[in-house]
Amino acid sequence: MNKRIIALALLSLCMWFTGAQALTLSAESDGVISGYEVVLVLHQLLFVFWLGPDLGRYIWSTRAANTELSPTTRITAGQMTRKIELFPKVCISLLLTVGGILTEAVGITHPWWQMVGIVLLGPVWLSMVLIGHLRPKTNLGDLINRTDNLFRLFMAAAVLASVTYSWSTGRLDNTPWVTGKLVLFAAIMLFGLVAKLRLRPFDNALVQIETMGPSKSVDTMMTKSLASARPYIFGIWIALAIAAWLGVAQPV
Amino acid sequence: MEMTESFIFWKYLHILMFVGWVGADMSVFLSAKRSTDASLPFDTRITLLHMALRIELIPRTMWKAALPLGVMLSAEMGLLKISDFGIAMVWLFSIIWWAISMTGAIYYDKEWGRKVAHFGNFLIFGVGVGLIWAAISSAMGNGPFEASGTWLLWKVGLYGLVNLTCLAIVVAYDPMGPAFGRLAVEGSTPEIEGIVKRTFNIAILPIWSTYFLVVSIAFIATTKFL
Repeated sequence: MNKRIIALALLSLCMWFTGAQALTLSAESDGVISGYEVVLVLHQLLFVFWLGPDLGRYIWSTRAANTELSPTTRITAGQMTRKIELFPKVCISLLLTVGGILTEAVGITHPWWQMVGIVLLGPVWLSMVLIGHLRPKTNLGDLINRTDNLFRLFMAAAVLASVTYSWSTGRLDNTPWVTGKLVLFAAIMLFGLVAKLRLRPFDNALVQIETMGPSKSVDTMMTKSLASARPYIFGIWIALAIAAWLGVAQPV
Repeated sequence: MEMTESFIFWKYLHILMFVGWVGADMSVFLSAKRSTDASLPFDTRITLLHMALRIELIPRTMWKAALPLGVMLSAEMGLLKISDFGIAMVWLFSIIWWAISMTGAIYYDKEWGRKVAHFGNFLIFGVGVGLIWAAISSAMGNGPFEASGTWLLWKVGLYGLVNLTCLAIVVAYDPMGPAFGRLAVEGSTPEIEGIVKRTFNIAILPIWSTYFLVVSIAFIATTKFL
């Protein structure tokens, strides 16, 4: 019974999307919820739940590095960053799928096989994120986490290659803002990757505080690690803000 | 309608406001929830609560910013009849409202800070009821908003309601301060932990109602189906 309801809901969503209207700017109520509008709301929510919690995650990471706080408080602060970071991770995993579907509505059509890939990418990536985050000690979780950097690098390269090819064929001539958003997404993936690598000593330091307690060298390691990742974290926020502006203004 | 540069500007700020409100509030919620964990030492729990209140300054600011930003967008869309003087007054009120709210939140541990916060609660109630009234009277053709923009009237009314749910959060969370005060002096006891847990569980209802309403407002604004 539940499966039928889910299937019906998915079918309705597809029908909505099939009947998606072109981008309209109306001040009047139209009495209609189009597929395009539903996906657009999802797109906005992904932006909201990416950038918003990321601010909190950063603030908590500064607490974890604060030597004036007790070791338990610092460890708890580290746990808070881990807990909050699930929001941005989930949002990143779904953005290409939701964004890809949205591009259809602004006139960038995809062959069926590409569309299948775009639609499947979100659920697959999301599953990887959830397994890696919630089941890190299982074989699969461990494998996902060990290959996460490679996967991010692959995704950034794939997005850049796809944009370059589409640009060269003139497919994005009418929507340069989509090009900008995709390039920024790839940049964000790379910034995230560098930030993650630079935060490795920070994570190791937290484990050391948990097992052996704080020490001068551990505190220095944490502070330095956070400082070296900071430009990339801020870079992600700036890139996200620019991408949002491109999405709102849609400059041609 | 034409997408002017000023419309794009206000719309962009409106979306960023949404990010700083509900998005940032996730960290507030999780930090506050963790502060109720009785297995943690007191200094850790008070840091969690303090950080929740500090991060909450971001959503608090955005919640107030929604008023003037919404007015600017409504005026840009031709759905609100308002003079330049009226716009200036809305901005002035919003800045004062924000300043009172921030003062109360930053100095929550001082007696005078609590008095400022208490006064701010009356303002929140006034804004909430005032906006609901503005939406209903506009729907009847007597308010400041165009009756044809029904989606906007829903937005205005629901934003008014959000102010009331936010006020409910403040009221529901009020026993948490004294409970933590007792934790500091008496240590963890089943009675105090019961108050802490109960206070948080009661506050969850208006908290989730606020999230639901804000997301609903975004949905209505994007789809304009009402």
